[in-house]
Amino acid sequence: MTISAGRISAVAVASVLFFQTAYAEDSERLLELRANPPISAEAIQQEQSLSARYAELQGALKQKDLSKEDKKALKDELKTVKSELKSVQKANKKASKDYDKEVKKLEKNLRKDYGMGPYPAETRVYVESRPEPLQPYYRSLFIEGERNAVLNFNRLGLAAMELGYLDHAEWAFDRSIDKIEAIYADNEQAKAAKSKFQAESVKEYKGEPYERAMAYYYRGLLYLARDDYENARAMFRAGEYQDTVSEAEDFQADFALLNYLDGWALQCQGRSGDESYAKAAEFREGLSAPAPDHNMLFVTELGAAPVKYGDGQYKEILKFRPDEQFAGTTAQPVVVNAESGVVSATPAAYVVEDIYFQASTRGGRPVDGILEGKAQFKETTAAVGSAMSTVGTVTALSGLYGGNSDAALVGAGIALIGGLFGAASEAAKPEADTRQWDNLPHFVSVATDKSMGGGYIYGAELSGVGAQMPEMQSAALVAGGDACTVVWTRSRSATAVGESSPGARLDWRQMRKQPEAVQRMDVAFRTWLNAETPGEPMGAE
Amino acid sequence: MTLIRASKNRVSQIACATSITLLLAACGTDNSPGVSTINQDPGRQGAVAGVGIESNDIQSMTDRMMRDMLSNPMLANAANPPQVIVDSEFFMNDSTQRINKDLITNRLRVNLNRASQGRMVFVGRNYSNMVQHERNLKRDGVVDTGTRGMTAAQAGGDYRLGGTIASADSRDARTGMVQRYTQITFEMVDLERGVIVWSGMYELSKAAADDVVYR
Repeated sequence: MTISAGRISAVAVASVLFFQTAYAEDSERLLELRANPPISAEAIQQEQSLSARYAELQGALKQKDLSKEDKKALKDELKTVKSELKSVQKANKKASKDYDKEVKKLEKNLRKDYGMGPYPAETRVYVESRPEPLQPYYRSLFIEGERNAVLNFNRLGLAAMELGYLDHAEWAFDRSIDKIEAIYADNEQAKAAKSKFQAESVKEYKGEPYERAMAYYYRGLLYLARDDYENARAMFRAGEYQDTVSEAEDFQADFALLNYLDGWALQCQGRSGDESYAKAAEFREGLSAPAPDHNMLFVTELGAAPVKYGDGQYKEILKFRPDEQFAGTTAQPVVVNAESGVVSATPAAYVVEDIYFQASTRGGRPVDGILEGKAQFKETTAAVGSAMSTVGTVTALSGLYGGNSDAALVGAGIALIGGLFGAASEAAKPEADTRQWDNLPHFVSVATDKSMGGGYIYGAELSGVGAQMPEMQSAALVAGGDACTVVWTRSRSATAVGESSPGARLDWRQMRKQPEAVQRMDVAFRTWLNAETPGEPMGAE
Repeated sequence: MTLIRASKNRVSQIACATSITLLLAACGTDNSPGVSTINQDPGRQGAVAGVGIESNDIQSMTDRMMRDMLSNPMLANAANPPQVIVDSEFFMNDSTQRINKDLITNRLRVNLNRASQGRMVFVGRNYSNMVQHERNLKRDGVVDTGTRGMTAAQAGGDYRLGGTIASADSRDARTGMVQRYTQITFEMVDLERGVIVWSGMYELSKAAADDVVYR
């Protein structure tokens, strides 16, 4: 009897699906068990009452002046209570044992596929408690753990900001910045990232300098929206400082957008932003400071984030290319009378920042030297292994055919060592870390104007090449107070990305192979996430 | 036979030596684990670091300012206890660190109030709307006058806290060391004449370096 390949495949697929469903159901069952104790409160109460009554009866029987009838009645009752108590204790013990047994079995099953988690039911419970449009980002945050926390906080923050969940956005960017500013000295995962046999991407993501700077930029915009100009300014200045990371960069501290926004925050405070505007203008010819009476800032983001990729024989060199799909290059902010629909103002805009330029002019990274070393190791051990395998095989074969057993043994030994070198080469991982914040823009333009009061709607007319860019886009955020208002528009939605940044998420096999210490850290991270609750959504429908 | 055995041994030795040599040659990379945060005396020049104000800094600075204010005769030993306003309204963050300034001013006000034991009287200016609301209710007859009677107006301030949090950041891109000097200035200003009757300053400087994979 022959079994067709198709039938075998069908069985294999069905088995995978079955077991996946089984594991998901296992996690729901485990959650249910953990939420419900093995012994009900009533059963515990019953056991306690019977136990107390038993003790009472025993005490009563010890009395000296009991009549014969009383003694008999007590003894009868004692016998009944004893029997009932034994029965209840036995049942409770069995329930507890069965519970532990089932929990152990479920945990064992789930560990096979998910390691220390998160299990599907845990993820479902966490995600369900978040606003629906943000659930994909929260899911990524929960599943991917500490390793991608900053990346996921950034993506979540930006999506939340666009969708109007400002409290969620503020929380996410605050957590991201906490981690960006944390000093990772003597960090185990950083150490692992430098080792020959672990990829750079095992480290916890903090982002390249341009990504870190953009986290501060968005947090600063959120502070502007809340009229907190002091903290907004702190963010813009701290973000600009991130641009000073690279020694090799030709264009350090040239993040003109952040210098400009620093000046704007000062202007909103009633102070002079001239120095900051001048600093921005040093890097951007033609950029002029806002008029002193301007109190509306139009920030328009165009295009899509720079794309990271690994170059070189072993993808050990981190490089960037612009994303040509969403190629918006200019934005014209518009102020439209809400009642008449007439365009009332079109403030002059200036493209003040090119995020791809910031990414690609960073210069070399110190870790590039380590990756180069890993690549050399990989190449060298491959070459040595290949040569030794060849020599050893030839020697062994000629020994065998020539009847020279010593030569055959020596040849086999050399071939074996060659094989070890080859294995070491295979195991070496020099690939650069290409995890990327994929819902960033390519360009940022700014414009300012004087507020015309209420009754207006805001947006931007967009132009450039690329089929996926709308001609007109409404502002995603219009907020501020008495001093200043910020109008923030994007040509490409921050939600036009997948649940996870491309290539960032490990598969379950990789996740359960992570060191136990790392998995435990992720368990603690998820516990912390469950306890943290961003505020109520503001301005979101 | 002996010659062949010797040759075999020699080949094995050469193979091992070669392996070790090649392995060592392929291994040589200098790893830099970074430097844990170190607190520095701001009066001394040191490495560059970028860590900001932490909770222990807030405690230290407010304790020090409090002791200093209590030893100022105009503030804490006047014949009539002065009415002071201590809040974050005019306490400006000019640094590169986002911070809730109330953490600093609240701790200062609370501890000062407790320690001064009546030598200073604190005006809750941030509660003025709440107070005015109650005053209106009393005057409208909606509520009674309480047990302390009514006054012509809310308390005015004699002195008010002002100040600045400022920082200077530097980074050595070659070694990855980052440094932040933070200076927090506190001043009590006479609200009639505008003179500064007391000044205090708290400085900190911290240095650290991230692991090389983050530089």
